[in-house]
Amino acid sequence: MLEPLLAAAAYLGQGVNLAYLALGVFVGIAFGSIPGLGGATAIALLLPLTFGMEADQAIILMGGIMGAVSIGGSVSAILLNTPGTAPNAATCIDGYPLTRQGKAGLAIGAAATSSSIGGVLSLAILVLVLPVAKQIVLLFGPPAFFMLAVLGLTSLTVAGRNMLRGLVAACFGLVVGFVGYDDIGGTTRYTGGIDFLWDGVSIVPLLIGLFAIAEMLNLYAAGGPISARDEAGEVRVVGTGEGIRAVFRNPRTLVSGSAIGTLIGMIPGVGGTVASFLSYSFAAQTSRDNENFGSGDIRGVIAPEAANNAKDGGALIPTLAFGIPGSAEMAIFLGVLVLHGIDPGPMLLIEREATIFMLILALLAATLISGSLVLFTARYLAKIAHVDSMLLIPAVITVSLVGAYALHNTLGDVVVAVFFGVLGFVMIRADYPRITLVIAFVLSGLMERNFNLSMTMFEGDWTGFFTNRTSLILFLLTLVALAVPAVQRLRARRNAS
Amino acid sequence: MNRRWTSRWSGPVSALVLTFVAALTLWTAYGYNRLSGLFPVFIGWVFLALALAEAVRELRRLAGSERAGPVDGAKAAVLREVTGVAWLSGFLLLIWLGGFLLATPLFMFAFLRFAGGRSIAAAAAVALGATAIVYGVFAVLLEYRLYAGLVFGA
Repeated sequence: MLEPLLAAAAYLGQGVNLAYLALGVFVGIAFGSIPGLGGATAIALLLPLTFGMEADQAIILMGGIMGAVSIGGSVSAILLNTPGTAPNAATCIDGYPLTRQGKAGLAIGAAATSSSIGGVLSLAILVLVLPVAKQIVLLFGPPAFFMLAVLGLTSLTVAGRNMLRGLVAACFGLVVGFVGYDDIGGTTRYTGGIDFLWDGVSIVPLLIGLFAIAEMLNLYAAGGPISARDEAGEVRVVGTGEGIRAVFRNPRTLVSGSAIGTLIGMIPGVGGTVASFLSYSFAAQTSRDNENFGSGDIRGVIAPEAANNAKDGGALIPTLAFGIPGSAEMAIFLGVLVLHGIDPGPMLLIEREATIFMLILALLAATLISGSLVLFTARYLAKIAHVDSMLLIPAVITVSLVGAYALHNTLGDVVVAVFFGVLGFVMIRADYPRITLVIAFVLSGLMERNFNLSMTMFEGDWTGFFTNRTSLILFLLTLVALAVPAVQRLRARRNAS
Repeated sequence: MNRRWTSRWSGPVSALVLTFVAALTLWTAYGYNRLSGLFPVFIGWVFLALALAEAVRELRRLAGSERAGPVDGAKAAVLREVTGVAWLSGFLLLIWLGGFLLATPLFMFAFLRFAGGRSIAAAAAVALGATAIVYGVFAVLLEYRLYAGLVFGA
């Protein structure tokens, strides 16, 4: 384990790679600060820029973005009461009251420090878990991998607001994944007679469309400024040192937040918003002298911020070990791997250990650098959140379409990006989750391969999925996941009566 | 930010469209040979069942909302959504005809002037600046060959 770790550290330390990391951190903080953009949009937008890079350099750039986004989002949550990304919403509860009390520096210092430490702790857990996960991966056969992907998609939809729509979106994502020439059966599928689609739908224009373009259309349809101007934007950010010390005075809140974030991150689709709110409510319920929660308690900033950044380390466990992305960012990250010729399947953990350590180190460095950077630049970052959406929309759309074209120098990819942009926009407005579509699309190949292999193993008898022990356990877990919303509804009804 | 459609028809229409897509997926899958069609047929049936369930739920909801009366501001919201898609489609058409280096300044200028309410001078300056950045980053720095457009012989 030490050898690939050292090789990754030496590679990351090279000048040009540090520059990519810095670029990723800068973009991550900026996109995190602007409400409505976030990490997925940032990664999708920068994807085309990585075409000419080595795979590890692209991973460093993306690691820089992923490690910095959540810290950037905390600034606008604390200073403007507008969360930069959805998981930062829990930080508003106590962060903004602290700003109103003239303690913005205290909140920013605590947020940056707890976010950095939360990220570091979760990455440490990831490094400890990976060798175990490697052994587990080797025990899995095709039926278990197929059922694991089903479980991943199901838990994604259960975590969303509308399970049925999530499942429908997942099915659609799988169908999009079928498009193109099928090597096994020697047939072209779902191309509609369009030659361009023989190679299938490329992940880059799909991601650019579903995230970058769809968000811009939504911004346009919503109208008005991204974030209303507020006197908090002009606030003085002093006393960040006191915020840093506050984190170390509350180790219990910090550790529990990091643990909750890592655990929640491991469950595909549950994501940072649940992690940060759960961590906040845990801190509010279990802390002594908790009467100030909600009106400016610094522990109300430490808990969600630690969880928010810690979820990334947790989400990397299913992503790297099983090729099942835990969040939209992770799905796009798998897209980066595909683009650079790396198969994001379960063998990644076994065959490309150095690449994994590269990502872990990039995330670690990005978390620490962005935490320090935010301490000095918070006041200016708050101004970024006021950027005029009418300037942002055409700029992002232009870069998105040029980037989509640059993939294969074909206008077909631009059309695909526009198609998925409009589809993503419709999905936002009609309340269908885009993340399940993307993750199903990414998993489509893995699922079909393992389904076909399993059916061959079982000689066409599908009941084999239930006689294989691992596959049966995963199937039962899928049923449990599907039953969760019904149980919750039943419990709520019982409580109401 | 209002993330949901205000039109009460949007839910049922999208569910019915998805049901149609699911049925088409399944029907097409039966046309493939056994190896290529095995998994699409399986997913097709699951997709159809789920899309039908969603459509039934949405139609029942629609019946309930008709009793509740019309939604305020629905027309204006839908109009703005359609305008957004029209801007994007217009940009795509411009790219197809004139290529990126002509479409970018035209789209930026038109958007900033008519949707953003900027002055002619400000819109022109931003449009030219954005085109210079696109050219500098993609054509010069990254050495990508940008699409020249149908009019210019691409």
